[in-house]
Amino acid sequence: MSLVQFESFTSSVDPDYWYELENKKLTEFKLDNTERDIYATYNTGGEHEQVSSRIRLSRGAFNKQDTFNTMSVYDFSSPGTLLNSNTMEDFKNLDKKAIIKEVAKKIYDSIVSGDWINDPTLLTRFYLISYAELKQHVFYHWFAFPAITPTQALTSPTSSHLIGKTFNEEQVEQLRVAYDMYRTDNHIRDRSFFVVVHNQTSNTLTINSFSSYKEEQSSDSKVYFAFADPSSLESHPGWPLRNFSLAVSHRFPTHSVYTFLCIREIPNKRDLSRSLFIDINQATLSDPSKMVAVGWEKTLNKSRPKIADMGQMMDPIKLAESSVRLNLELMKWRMFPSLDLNKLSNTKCLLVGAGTLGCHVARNLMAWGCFNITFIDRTKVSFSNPVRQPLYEYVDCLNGGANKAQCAADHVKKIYPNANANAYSLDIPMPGHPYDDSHKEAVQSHYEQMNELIKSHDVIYLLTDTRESRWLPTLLATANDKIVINAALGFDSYLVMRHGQPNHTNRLGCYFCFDVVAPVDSTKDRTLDQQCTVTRPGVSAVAGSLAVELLVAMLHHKLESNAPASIVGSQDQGELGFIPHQIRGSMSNFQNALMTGSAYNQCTACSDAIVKEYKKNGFDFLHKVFNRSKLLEELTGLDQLQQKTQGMLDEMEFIDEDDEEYQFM
Amino acid sequence: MGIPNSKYKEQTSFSDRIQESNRIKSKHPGRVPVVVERYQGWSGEQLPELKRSKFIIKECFTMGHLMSMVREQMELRSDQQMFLFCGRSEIPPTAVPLSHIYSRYKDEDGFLYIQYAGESAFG
Ligand SMILES: [Zn+2]
Repeated sequence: MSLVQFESFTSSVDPDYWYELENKKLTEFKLDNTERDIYATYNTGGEHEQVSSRIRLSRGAFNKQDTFNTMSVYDFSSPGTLLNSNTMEDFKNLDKKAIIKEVAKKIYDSIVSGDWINDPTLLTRFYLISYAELKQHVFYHWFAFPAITPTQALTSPTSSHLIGKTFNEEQVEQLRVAYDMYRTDNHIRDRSFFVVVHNQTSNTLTINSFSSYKEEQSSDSKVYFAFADPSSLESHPGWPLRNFSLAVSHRFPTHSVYTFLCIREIPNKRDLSRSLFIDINQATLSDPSKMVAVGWEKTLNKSRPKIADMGQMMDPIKLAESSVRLNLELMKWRMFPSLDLNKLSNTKCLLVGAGTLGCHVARNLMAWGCFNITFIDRTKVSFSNPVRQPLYEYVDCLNGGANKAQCAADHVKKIYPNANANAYSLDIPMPGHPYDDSHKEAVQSHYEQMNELIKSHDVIYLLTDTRESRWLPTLLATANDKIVINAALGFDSYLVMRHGQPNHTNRLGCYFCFDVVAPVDSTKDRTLDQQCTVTRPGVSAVAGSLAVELLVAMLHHKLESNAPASIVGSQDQGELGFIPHQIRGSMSNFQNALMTGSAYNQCTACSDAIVKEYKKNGFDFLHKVFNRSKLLEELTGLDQLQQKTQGMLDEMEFIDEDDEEYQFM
Repeated sequence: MGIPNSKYKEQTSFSDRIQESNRIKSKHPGRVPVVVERYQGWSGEQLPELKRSKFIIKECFTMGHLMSMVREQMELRSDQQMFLFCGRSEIPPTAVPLSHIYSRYKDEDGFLYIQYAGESAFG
């Protein structure tokens, strides 16, 4: 009599399983930590002891059918349960004794009820607890493969021996062929445990599933209880035999000794020669109340969880992608469940101007997972830029300076390689900036490229450093009914606003709607400090982030860009709260004011008069405006308005002494 | 930005202001008293102070007319952009007549207070 010892299962988890868990945790489970059904697979023991008794979880683990679909005839399935804790603390505090007892009790019940006959895989039921440290892609986990302890330890009257000692070669081959056919004809769940009947008179081997097997009465038949054995060790059968031998003892109680056939097939080699025979004495189950089970997996001979560190294994680009996604998905758990990440990632943004504002807007768009970014800028990176413009570095200023738009796009890709960043070095034609006729063709080509870019993007960001350079994109965006977010800086102040669109209800004003003069060349006759962006450095970062937050808030309102402007006390808000028309902020008192203003029917950029004229005459009209911006005031009637006030000043009415300090109009 | 500020308001008592606005309204029917002052909230984009910050304006004139007048008074270059606002958050529609703005935003002292500020343009 000798004690039978078993080789326990060793868990082996595919990185794909962790990706899948991470994905499900983020998008499906979130904070819900109820138990989930999972399915593992194992092979029979092969030649290599290193891979003996491996049980594996892969990508399809969460779906029974997916698991079955990927299984070959050499794979065996095992049903399990996942409990993924929300915190490390929860994971540590799980009552592992209670867990294994509960799972073992299920196995116990299926033995007593006979349910295992129809689904023998129930004997290999396992349990997995885990905690996913998603930021680092580290997964703490611990498997339990419960084995019920019988009233007395399992013993064998003889010792185990290789199949060749009992079966001759011909019989082994017969068994192999019969097993092949059996696997093809029977359900996956009947593959791993079955009955081999050897009729010694006719010397035939037949295989039966437990559900079809009727206990043999004939004395010339020898019955072997067979199972797919994951162990490769000659001295030890594998773990499934523990519960299996109890189940067999309980089901066929008249025997005193059972012969088990541990099938070990080297996949694809048609070789069963390493299979074992082992006799095990009748064993009995304890009372349910006294049931004891073992089976928490040991790691390096110690009782402790395993750690899967996927951070190092993942493709770095994939890692970046999933990490970025993770950060955003986390918002959906509690703070902002209606966050529409797909909408953001599909929005194409055209950034007109890649200076301080352009850099900050790009960075904030990326932070929201919005990676379709196109830059327009005609300048080169200069030595003063990098300290204020976070997409440039010192080296970009060398050798005359890199092309700014391209350099910005390159840096966006350095920050996030999957970004769809593009660059166009374009001169934006401007009202009041005349040019020789020899340049007309070039100007026209720049206008045409700009127009195409505006058409192919969803959101136009106006981030240039003069008023007049914002005119053409404002007009083109209006003509093409695009969203415009306009940001402009003063020394210690900033303006961030959205433009109204032609078909909006209560159409909001554009940048040009609130003054009564056409844009002209603002760089002429200006001193250096007036020509350059001389601002408190913080204003561009603040304005840049507000310009992005405004867009995101707007995209999360059911009316999107048509959302009414909210001001203090306003009820009409989107999923993210306020969607103002204008945010006017000042660093001198650290305050923001939300302002609202309607579109002006005499606006020099967005009024019908201008848009109609542009649609009618296209570049010919623009060409005239670039050379003489007064045309805009003539078309909109602003010239008459100005003349009227001029007249009022010239012919002041008689004013008596009481009214001296007043200006009459 | 926030709370509107007015030098005129600070330097003149409430009763004097009421008296003054009533005087103007009865003396100049069809016109409204308006105070237009520079917004003090920031130092950048500084526009000049108006020589005359008090206006008596025909009700039919629009914000656009007022803006044009303010620009003329300041002799603002045409490359300088500005905007007018009243109250905390309203940029009155440029095309709307002053009678409308007056009845909506006039102070309890009978004056309409409007502030102006230079528009930002840098990037
Ligand atoms: Zn406009």
